[in-house]
Amino acid sequence: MVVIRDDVKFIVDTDKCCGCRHCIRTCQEDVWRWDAELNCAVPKYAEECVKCYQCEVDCLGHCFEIVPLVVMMSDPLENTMGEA
Amino acid sequence: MTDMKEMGKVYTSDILIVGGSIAGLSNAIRAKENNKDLDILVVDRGIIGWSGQAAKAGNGILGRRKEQSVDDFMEFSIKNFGEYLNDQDFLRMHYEGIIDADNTLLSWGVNLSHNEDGTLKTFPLDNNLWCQVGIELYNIKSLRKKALELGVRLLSCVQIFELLTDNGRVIGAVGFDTDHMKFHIFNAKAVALATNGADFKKMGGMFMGYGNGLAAAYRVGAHMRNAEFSTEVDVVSKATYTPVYGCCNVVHNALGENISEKYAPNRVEVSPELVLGMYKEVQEGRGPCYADLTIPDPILMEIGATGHENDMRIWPDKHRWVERMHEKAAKYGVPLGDKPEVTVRMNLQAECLYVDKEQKTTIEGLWGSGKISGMGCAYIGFVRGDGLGYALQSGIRAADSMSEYVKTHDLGTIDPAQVAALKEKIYAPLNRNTNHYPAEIFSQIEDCAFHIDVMLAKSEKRIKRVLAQIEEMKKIVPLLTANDPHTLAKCHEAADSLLCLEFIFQAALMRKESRGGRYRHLRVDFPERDDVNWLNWIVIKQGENGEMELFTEDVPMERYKFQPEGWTPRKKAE
Amino acid sequence: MKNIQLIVNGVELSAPEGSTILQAIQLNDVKHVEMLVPTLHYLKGVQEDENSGLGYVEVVGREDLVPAWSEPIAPGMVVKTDTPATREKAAKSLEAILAVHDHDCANCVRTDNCELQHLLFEYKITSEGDGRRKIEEIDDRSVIVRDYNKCIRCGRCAAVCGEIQGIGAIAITGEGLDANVGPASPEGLAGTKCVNCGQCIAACPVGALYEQDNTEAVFAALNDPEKFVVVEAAPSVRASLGEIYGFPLGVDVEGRLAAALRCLGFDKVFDTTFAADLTIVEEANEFLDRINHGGTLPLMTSCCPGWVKFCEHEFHDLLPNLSTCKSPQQMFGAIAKSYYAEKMGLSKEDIVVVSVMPCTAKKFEIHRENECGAGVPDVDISITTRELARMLKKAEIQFEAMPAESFDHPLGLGTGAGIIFGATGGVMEAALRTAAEKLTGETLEKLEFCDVRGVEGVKEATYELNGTTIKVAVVSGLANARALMEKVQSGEANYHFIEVMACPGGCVNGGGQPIQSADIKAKNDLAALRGDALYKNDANKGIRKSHENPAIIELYDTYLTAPGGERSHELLHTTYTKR
Repeated sequence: MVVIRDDVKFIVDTDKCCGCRHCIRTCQEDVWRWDAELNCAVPKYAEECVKCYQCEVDCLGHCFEIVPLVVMMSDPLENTMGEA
Repeated sequence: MTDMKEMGKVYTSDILIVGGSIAGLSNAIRAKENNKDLDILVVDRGIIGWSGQAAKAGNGILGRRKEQSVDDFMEFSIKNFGEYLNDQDFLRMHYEGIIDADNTLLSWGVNLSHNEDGTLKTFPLDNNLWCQVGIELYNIKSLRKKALELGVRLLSCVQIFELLTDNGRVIGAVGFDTDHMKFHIFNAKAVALATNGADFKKMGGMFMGYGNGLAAAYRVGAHMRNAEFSTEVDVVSKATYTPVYGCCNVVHNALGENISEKYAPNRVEVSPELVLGMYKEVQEGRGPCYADLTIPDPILMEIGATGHENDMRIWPDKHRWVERMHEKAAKYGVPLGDKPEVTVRMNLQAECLYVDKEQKTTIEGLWGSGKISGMGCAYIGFVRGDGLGYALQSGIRAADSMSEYVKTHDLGTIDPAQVAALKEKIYAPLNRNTNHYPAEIFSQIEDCAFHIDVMLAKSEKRIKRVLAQIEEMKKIVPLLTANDPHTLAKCHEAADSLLCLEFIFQAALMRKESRGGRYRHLRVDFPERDDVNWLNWIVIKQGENGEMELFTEDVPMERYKFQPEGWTPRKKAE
Repeated sequence: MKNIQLIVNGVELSAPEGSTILQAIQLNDVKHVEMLVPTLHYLKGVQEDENSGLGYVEVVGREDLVPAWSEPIAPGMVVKTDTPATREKAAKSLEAILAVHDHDCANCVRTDNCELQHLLFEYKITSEGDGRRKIEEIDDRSVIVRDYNKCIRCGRCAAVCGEIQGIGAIAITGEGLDANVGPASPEGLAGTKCVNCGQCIAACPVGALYEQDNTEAVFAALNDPEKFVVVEAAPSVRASLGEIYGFPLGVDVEGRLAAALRCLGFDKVFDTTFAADLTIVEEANEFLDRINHGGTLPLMTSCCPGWVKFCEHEFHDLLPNLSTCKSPQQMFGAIAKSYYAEKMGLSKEDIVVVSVMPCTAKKFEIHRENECGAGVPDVDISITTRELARMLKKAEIQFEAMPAESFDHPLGLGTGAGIIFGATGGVMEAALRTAAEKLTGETLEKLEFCDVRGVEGVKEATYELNGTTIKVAVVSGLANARALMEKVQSGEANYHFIEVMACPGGCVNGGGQPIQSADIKAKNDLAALRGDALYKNDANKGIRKSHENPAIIELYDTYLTAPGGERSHELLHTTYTKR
């Protein structure tokens, strides 16, 4: 499955998931949830992802890849309020 | 109690610790070591052993070599970080406690850099002003193991949103589990919040803190302090948005000029001056900036995460993680290389829970350890590695205090009406059918506050604009809706984050001066430090009618060893 | 023995001369630098050759890769475990293994605790295998289930069954990944002399071997409003259940175990330890009876169903030596369905007795002849420690959150003597505490019988009790038992009392216990650590002699009358068959 948000893309091979739930365990932002129907962990709240990639490092079956589409939504040095 | 069981799942314990990362687990382990018969329950929104900010660090915990004096540490922090707003009693106690605390951590089975004889091995930091002890990334996995061995109870996947009180004393908490949204009620003799502060999602990146702990404490009457000191700055690579450690002296503009030298020469850390300098350079068209990692700058060489394959400074689990991030940068963007393009990352971090030297809040029965109180304790002595260090020590201090307290205090009586009201409040967003979701609030917070001239360079006008925007956002809060446990939790995180944002900007409005190093409060309309009028702490509390009340407490400078040059005690009128 | 220094991955290690590179790495157990030497065949003390193609390292100065499991260390040797060459070799071997392995981690009982899965993770192997395999049917004719589609031909099961247990129910024909590793009978394990000890399961690195899963039956009973479901948990379970949740090895989780069982919904949460005390009272009585009336000696313990079946196969003439006592698991059930049922006004047909055991042979034991003391099966369902953890997971009970609770009365009251049953020598020590007091008529000053403690395969001790010399032996591991029995047969050994446990180290190391990897087992003595947890539990118990258990005293006073009496024989004693 492919899950796309503004700044990140998840490419998940749902067949490979072994149910170790390391992704759920390590994610600080509650991105991953268990999908009982698909029998696989899915990035249900992918919009919360902060692209730390710890879930990807810990995935026992190397089942998915996180693709950063945008690393920073805006650059503070370029984005200014512009007045006193 | 039958009423309670019908309302939700009830947990009773001697000590309840909300938050199970390094501060919470240290608290639990120490309390259990103090008295093995204590029933200690740690609750976390995630899975204990892998949750919390401590699992996203792995760079080192603050250490102290015996030959480095506490006075030297204090002097540096007071002059550079707090600029005399530090609580010097707390600061001394904290720095004196570093070595024992690190040894305690080692004794608990956490992998720390050590010599053959088992003593701690330190690495220099900031040109040898400080030092760090290498620590494994998953230090909390080791702490979890220790906690389980001692008989501490660990409850995962339950998020707490409100505290229970009985006659002005905190006696428990309520929340729900993150899978089934089942209501949970906790009753304990003593409660600790180790929930991190508030980091305003999206701006915070990997540093977390959802505001629930601070807000829940505020609602039961606990005071906040030093909320205005909340802006943390860092220089990050544009490719990964993660810090380029140690680069504070080697930042260049696109023309190849060393702008570190120009704006913030000879520093040991990223400073507001450097950030504002980078801002100026980019705004005036000389961007993007880059960090030149080939320069043999001592700070850079000290702290870079490479070249530490073997010496216990960086452990294998951290290596794996860093390696993956480098791979991503190389594959999907620009490889980091030795001249990475950099920008700044600013975090707004509310850490303002007011605590004393025992980590007690101003409300009986409630303690605060870890980042939730990092500023509220007023030690203002944070250096790299002291996020972990303060969390560890404060967890230990809270444990010592709490285990004394529960010797002489029984369980408080839960008021079913209080629980029912809180339950209704917590689940309220489920019954609405609006189009307002929590992401909206976080987006708007980012829009209104995520600017250098709001977070770092404030002015009365800018602050008031933010406060007005907060008022507008507050109107949306009662309209937020959710259909699942994740979003329901986010509704409350949004509301509580908004409250924490208000702490920061109300306090910033009040403090008409500029002061502070790493968490600098900078007012462009009051750019100087004012030791005549502003050597005091701004305290925030919830007033009788629910309004936010601010007042000041004098820094007891006359008692302190390190005083501003030329300072004399202010004569009290009357 | 001289120590030699060598360098592995830049770290200086020290190990005794004669150690292999692998042993040197295991001994030093360095945490701050990774030193993974991948193996799948290697199992310390059982099979120390690695024939999978894994296990190679680079040694500076040597052209070819060097086998770490067999190469002795040399002073100043410089070793690298993770280079492009070692990675290539490991990957190739792992790919070859994958080709014969049904890589269905999602549905495998060993997922997240599988040595192959771990190596595939470390070496980032993501291929599926090429599907040349012939699909085999899963063989579940015996207590031990064999999913041959998962077998990676490591041979560890055959090695442990042949060498350590001296049975050889599993045979290997052929070589390498084309070998066939299977029961030495077309009827499967049931057609061999397999005693169901489950050591093969514990040795298997993957999910090719596992026990029959009876958790559904337990859930069904718990959900049946007509049934009164009681559970008994063996001493060894509390010494190991925590491992599944990341506790350190050797932590006693007795209180949390009771709470977790209660959370599952059992009507009563009892303790096999109570029945262990009962076994001691009966068996000590039997022992003294044989001593005083010229009965068959040596008396041999009969609480281990693996050992009993082994005796039934291999030592027909020693069957009369076996104690006629049932095992604690069975005695518990018999008492639950007679004494307890009557006491509580329950019908014995409505009681379901579930046991949680460190053992797979207990699943066989519940169906043996003459294990229906009250006219209904003593025990209805036996599950392993592992199955209990799966039940808790399914019921979404967080074991880590459990408070410490107590077992229910009266069948939950056990003494320290009963607790140590799980360690090899524990039954003997418990029996001695009672027998010694009965023989001497005096209160024992020192309760510890240290000569029979320890994880060595054979131990012996002699005690002078009131003018009587008692010679005892303790043996664990069936190859050791066979050797000892041969000595008994030949007359070379003249013991009075022998404790025999099929599993090396005792029940704490049983085939139903949490499975640890070969690496963990190479670095930690599981039996010693788990056994120590039981000895500590015993040392902290208020009552440490079986015959002083007030619940047992009451049982005899009000129901059984006397040890070895008529009622005891009806309920608590059994028979054996020549196989």
